[in-house]
Amino acid sequence: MHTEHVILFAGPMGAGKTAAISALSEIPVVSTEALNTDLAASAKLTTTVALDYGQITLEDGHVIRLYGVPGQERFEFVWKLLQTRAVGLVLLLDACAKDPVEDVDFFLDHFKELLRHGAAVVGVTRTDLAANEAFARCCARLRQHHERIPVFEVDARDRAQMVVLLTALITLVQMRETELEAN
Amino acid sequence: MPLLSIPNEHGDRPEAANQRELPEAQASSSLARTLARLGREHHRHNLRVRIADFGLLELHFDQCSYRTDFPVAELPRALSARRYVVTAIGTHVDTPAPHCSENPLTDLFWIAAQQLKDEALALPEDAPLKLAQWPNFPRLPHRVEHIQLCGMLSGHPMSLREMRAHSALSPASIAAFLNAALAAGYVQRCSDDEALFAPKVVPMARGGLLQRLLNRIGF
Repeated sequence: MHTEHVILFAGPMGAGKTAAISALSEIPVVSTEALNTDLAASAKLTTTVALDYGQITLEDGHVIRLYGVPGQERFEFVWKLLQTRAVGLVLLLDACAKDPVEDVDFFLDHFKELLRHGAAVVGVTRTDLAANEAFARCCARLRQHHERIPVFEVDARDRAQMVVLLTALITLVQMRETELEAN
Repeated sequence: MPLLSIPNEHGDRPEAANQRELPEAQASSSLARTLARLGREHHRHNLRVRIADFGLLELHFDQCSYRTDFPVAELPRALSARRYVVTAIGTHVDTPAPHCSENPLTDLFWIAAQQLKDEALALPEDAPLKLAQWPNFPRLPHRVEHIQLCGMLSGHPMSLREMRAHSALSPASIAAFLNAALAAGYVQRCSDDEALFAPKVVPMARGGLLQRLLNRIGF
């Protein structure tokens, strides 16, 4: 019997969700890119317009399904639908974005349903390109309002770094499940 | 052995323009051990360390950062050096040269503490501990046990006794993690009140999804 564990990858456009899933997935990522017409939000040529999909098959038939949700707010209905099935959230933030701290608040608010029954980690990407203190500010914001959510600096293309992120998330997912069973 | 520095006869003065070398380090101490001692003593003055065969390491306690003029990847080797001079410097911080890298001071103490795994843990068994901040694991040397212990502590202040009882990890692993995390400030002692009103301690899950994942990815 297969048991699946759904992990969502969310975050603003250009934060590295597709790259992160590609780094982790054992199968080529099913990617749904189209021409980016919102150049004010991101200078990327293409953007995800449906769900990216990747997976990691574990022993005994367990599968971790990795879903990358599109980052634009008009896809909010997709975020809502997927939250009930997911056990964990990887929120990727772009250190070069206009206001990564605002993105923290925005996305964690929209995924609060998932946070009630699951766990989350935050990865801040492109910190080597940002002149600001984006990582430190995101850490401070999370310590204020979501002290149980770890935040890491990552290169979303780097498999080793994404494995660390995923390991931390699964650790917290298990702790959360044990807590919920105990209460 | 470390280059011996001139004993400081002037006591602990506030920063002035003059630089002065700190009291002599123990002859057999690696730089990592010296930094760990400085961290425990809550040293206040910014420091410059000249490390033979490596270069300069500056610790800016007022900025909570450190700076090196050699690649950060060489830092673990540099910290095992026994030939170095530690000098107290003023609070004025020059703009780092382009080839210098600037990083959080917590990372430096964590990296240094990884070399002191055999240090005895000087901590009462029932002292409540909390996780103040997760180490930036993707950028720091770590083991999977460190991630598991952070997960346990996340949202649940615990004592050393409870960590031993509720995890599947060896006392040596737990001690090594706590030595590093306490030195870096990632784990802190909390008040008895904080521990009293905290959520119930949750045992570390054994096996399960995490173990399957670790087996699959070969962590």
